Amino acid sequence: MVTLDQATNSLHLAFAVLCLVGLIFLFRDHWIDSLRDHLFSLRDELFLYAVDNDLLQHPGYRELRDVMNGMIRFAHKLTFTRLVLVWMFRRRLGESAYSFASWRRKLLDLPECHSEMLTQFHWKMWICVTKHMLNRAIVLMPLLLAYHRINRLRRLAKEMPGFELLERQALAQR
Amino acid sequence: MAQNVNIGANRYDVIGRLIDGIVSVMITALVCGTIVVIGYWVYLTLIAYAGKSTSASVAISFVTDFKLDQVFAYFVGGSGALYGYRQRRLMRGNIERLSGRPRELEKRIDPNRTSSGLTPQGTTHPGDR
Repeated sequence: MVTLDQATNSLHLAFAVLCLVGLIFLFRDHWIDSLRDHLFSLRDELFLYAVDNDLLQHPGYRELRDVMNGMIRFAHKLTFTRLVLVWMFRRRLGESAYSFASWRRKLLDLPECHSEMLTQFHWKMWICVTKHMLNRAIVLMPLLLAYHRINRLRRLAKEMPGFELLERQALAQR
Repeated sequence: MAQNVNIGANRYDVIGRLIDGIVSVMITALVCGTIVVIGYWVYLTLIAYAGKSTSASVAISFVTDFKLDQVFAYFVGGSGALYGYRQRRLMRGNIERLSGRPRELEKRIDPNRTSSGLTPQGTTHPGDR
């Protein structure tokens, strides 16, 4: 037999779960804003580096900036679920004007230090995106704890399949 | 090659929209599913209690029999959410106020500067939702 106390406690639990759903939506918006904030900081750093080293007109810089802009704009759609879906559909996706390899080729005419620096900016962007996707996927949170060190996140960002496809999607959105 | 790239771009667009649709359906199903489960949970609670008293008395006691610790917990949780919401509004106002000048200065240095396409408050463009 259910007592009045048990019944009200049960209703409290239901209400608390509803509040939790609301909180998850608030946190989702926070994570998107946070990712955009990090990417804006990175884009500003990249801009200053390009100004200091006279790279503003270099196609490698311009393309990296376009990819960052695409990621900033596309941030609300960057989820682990999307990464998995894009990876699943990878064979149906045709050729794209952009690929990580083609972007690296554009850096070949730059001195080694600039080429390395731009590549670092690119990896920093992926570390931000990887952290964001792990934050948003509540079930993957334990992975974030496991990969809490930046160098490990960097390795994860390099090894996780489908990132390049997400970059292409972000560019296609622009 | 250029034609292949064009076909590829169209495919990206179509498949991108397909993925958008799948993700939207999954999120909607998850939210609706949670609400339905909660509704069913409440229904079961009321049914289980129905033999002893009316559903109305449970609902009334839910509102009136708040214990002090529960009131305090809801107050702290609600205040935290309100604080976060107000901070977010403040931050968006600040973004709008502070981002114009750097944009203008960057444009002077690099007239071909590309933009992220977000709103002045830094939120998702309505057309991208």
